[in-house]
Amino acid sequence: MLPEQHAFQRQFAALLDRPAEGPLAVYRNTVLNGAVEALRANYPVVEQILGTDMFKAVAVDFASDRPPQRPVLALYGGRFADWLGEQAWAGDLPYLADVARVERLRVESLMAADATPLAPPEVRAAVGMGDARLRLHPSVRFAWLPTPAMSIWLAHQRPMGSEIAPEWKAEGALFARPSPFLIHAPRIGQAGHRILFGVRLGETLNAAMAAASRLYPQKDCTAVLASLVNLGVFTAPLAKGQNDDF
Amino acid sequence: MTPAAGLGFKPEHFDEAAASPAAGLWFEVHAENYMVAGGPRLAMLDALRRDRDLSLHGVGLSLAGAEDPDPDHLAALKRLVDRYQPALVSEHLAWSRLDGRCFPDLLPVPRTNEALARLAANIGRVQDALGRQILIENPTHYLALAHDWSETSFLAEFAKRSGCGLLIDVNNVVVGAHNIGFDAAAWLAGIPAALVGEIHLAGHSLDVAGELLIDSHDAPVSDEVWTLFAALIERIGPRPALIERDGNLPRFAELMAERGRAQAILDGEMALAA
Repeated sequence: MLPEQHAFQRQFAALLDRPAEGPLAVYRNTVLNGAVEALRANYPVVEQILGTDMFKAVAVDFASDRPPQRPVLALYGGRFADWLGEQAWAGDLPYLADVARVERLRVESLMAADATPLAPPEVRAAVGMGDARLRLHPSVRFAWLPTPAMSIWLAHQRPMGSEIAPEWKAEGALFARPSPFLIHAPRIGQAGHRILFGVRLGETLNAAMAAASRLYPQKDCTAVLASLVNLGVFTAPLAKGQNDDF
Repeated sequence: MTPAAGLGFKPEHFDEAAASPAAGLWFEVHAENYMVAGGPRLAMLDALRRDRDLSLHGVGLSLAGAEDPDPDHLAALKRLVDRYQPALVSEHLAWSRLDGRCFPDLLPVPRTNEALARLAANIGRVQDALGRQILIENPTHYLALAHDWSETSFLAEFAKRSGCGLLIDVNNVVVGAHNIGFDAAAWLAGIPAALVGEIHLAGHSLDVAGELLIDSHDAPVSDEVWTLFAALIERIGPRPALIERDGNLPRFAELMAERGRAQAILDGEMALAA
């Protein structure tokens, strides 16, 4: 038999999962509201697209399906994008899950560890050495998405009312935060995406550049690299024995 | 910390908070909101800490839980304590974790001998891990549960067993007194002065049915809370006192005006004591 305290808490937790009135409703509302507010903070463009009431209903559904498993809500909702993609009603909004993916990249970039990015001369020196394996800055998050979700996200960063008519094509999204208060959020092309994921997988910068040039010969990969370096996406390789886990 | 009045810090107010010249002003944050690897949140706290004392107020350790405190969560709290060297660290008489699920709320605790023993042991674990005393906040009440202990004797007893102090939330007392029926002034009079390490002041609201008071932190501190706070300070002497505001966030100046009122009450008492 469970100790009395455990039994009480099991029973109480079960009550919170059912609609209630009076005192139990206060607890139930607070529990749901905590998760809903965390999603609202992390997915503001999804909220703008759906509208406040619809977003709240969707967030309550998600919070009931996937309640928080950690007390730290800053990063709650990691599965929200995939979950949105599985909802039948979201079929009318084929870009919605990808917009949520973009917002997730932003949140992860914001909360990631700080580090000093490599300056352009340092990257040039590394390229000169040939076999340098740089690391991506801990705040770098990027994805290649089948919809123009990044363009839609960017349009929502401008004052409301501006026209959103993106060209319907796949595109890349990049977030990089070279210092605590400075976050870059550009669209990226296939060449930039190939360089970034090559470095992420541990390729030397030269190998990643060569692959990008071979795959996308029409792109000026040197210029693409220069703009990535200016965004502060690279840091020096880890010395042996170091680790950057929080 | 010299007893002074502080403010719950809101990132929206960062520039004004960092620039405020107010003597003795300190800031409290929910520890969980800063359990991230880096970025603007930690940078803001770093900046505030340069000139100010901080208080880390935890909401997620689930100390009255049926399970032991989550070691990862405790380690994350320890990293924050080491980084910010806060003047105060506090948690709640509540549970919020069960069977792998976290409830973003402070759930109620029947005050039994079993709960007392577990709570005292959990507080002891946390204090050992952090290497310092913590304060435990009295809960608000919406539900009349069956208890073996009166609340004030329960608070005093686990404080005695664990060596922790108490964070007395005057608004929680007022809300609970209204909702389940007890005398707020008598409750406060039953708290041993020596155990009180911090006081919380906040506003509340009435639920839609017009029956329950909700500890909503979305309104100015109520007159009743101010009156009880002044009486408490008169009895126990000045303590660090915090204005908590989470919803309907007003301008920074408005919160500073409330904080000034709390400071005046603390100063009045200090002048009498001098």
